[in-house]
Amino acid sequence: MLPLTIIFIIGFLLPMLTVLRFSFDQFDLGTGLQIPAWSLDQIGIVLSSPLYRSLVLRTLSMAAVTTVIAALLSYPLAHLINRGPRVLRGLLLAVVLTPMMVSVVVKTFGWTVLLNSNGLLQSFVSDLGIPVQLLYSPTGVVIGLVHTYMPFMAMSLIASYATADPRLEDAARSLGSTPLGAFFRITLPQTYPGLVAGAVLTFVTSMSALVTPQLLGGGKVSTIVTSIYDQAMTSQNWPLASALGIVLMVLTALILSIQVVFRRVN
Amino acid sequence: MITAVIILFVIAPLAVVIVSSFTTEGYLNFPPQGFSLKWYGEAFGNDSFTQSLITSALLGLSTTAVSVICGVPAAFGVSRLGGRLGFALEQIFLSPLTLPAVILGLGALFVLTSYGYNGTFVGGLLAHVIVASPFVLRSVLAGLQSLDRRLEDAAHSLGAGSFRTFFDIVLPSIRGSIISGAIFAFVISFDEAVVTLFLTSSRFETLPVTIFSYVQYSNDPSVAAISSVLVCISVVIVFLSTHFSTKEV
Repeated sequence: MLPLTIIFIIGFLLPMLTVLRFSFDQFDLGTGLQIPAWSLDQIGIVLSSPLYRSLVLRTLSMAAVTTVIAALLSYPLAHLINRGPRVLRGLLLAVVLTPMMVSVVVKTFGWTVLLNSNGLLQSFVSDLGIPVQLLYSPTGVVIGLVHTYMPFMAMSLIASYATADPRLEDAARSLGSTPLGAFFRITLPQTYPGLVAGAVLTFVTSMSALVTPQLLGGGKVSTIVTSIYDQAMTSQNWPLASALGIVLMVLTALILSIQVVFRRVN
Repeated sequence: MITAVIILFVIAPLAVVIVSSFTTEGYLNFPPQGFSLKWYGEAFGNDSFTQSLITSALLGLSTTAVSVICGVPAAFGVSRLGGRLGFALEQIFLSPLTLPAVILGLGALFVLTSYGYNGTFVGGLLAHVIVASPFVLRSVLAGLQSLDRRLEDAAHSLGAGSFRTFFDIVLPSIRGSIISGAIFAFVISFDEAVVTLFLTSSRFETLPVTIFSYVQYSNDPSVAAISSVLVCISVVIVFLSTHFSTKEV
């Protein structure tokens, strides 16, 4: 146990504490120097400036939209995998799992080609008269986020669907309920624990995505995480990057606690 | 109908990368024109691609080795320790799974820079072990849970010491969990981009990071070719592992 403990102290505990410590430091924008301090200036900038407030809001709303779309797409998949014909099950499960083995960089690269302004999809959307730019826009980022993080939602829903008793649906149907009625009144409530678990995971992971907003946003769609990356690597403003990191950590912890509260209530 | 659209949505970006790597044109577009392997030649003739591929493979193998060598005894220790301390240690060792990778990358950048290890292979290895070892730990802990502890008691009562019991009884019984944890660790390290983006330098660059920078600044189909190679390696490894583990059980 000792070797891994030492690795975790140097590679995990120390980095985390350093991020926390640096978030209290000051940064001289003129000289680009980091000044050791115990101040709340950086956290203050993140929480009070309109720029960073809109950044936090944009990050949260893109994660929320991603989570909702992922849930809407995952329900039909979970339904077919658990209730559909046997032949389809293996195929659909493979479809859900395959993207999980592919690096997010490659998946996102595929989207940059597909969503390209000269591409099929963009001209299709424009022909329909929808004035939406796909690549380098929040729309493109959300498409990429849904694609990357939907498997978490799908896996969670598939698992909770499997525990829902199909005989209850049959009973509802035999008592005169329509298939949709049976779904909404009987099956859906039984999948709530899976939905909450999947939603929390999808929200948290899409909020922390770096590659997707960076490549599909093309510098025009910034989130908390892309700003952390820019501040740390381009501006070399480590205190501000750390403060943004602390805000991201707190948001992540808050959202993860939703699941704990939900479990207690049930 | 809805299902067909969802399947298309899931598969399309991967298919586009692979299909457009065979184009004869000089720029990326979909649908591509013609069929040629020339961009694979270009990709393997590009030193920065081959160098990153080698770095990624070496880093993946080293990460897997360290994660297994340190992770298996740690999992055993945690499970035998039990109680509050065991539970707390388990939570700490598994916490990189829920922590945003960007925070880990940022912290590792700070710490490695202050000790002069930023942009080095060793620095990258340390960060990758943090990201990958939870997968080994999780898999081995699950294996240990289904292990009958009376086997160890029997070995002890027959005179075997703790080391002998661990190597002769415990390790062989959890071989399957170790192998699947190791494969997970390799694929996670091989595909990792977020943490590595913070730790990269001209001397140390992994393939996902190289692809990331190429996609931003170039439109040349050799990126599609090298990406397809990356996808094939991951998929083949995962396929082999499922094949292997179904045989095992």
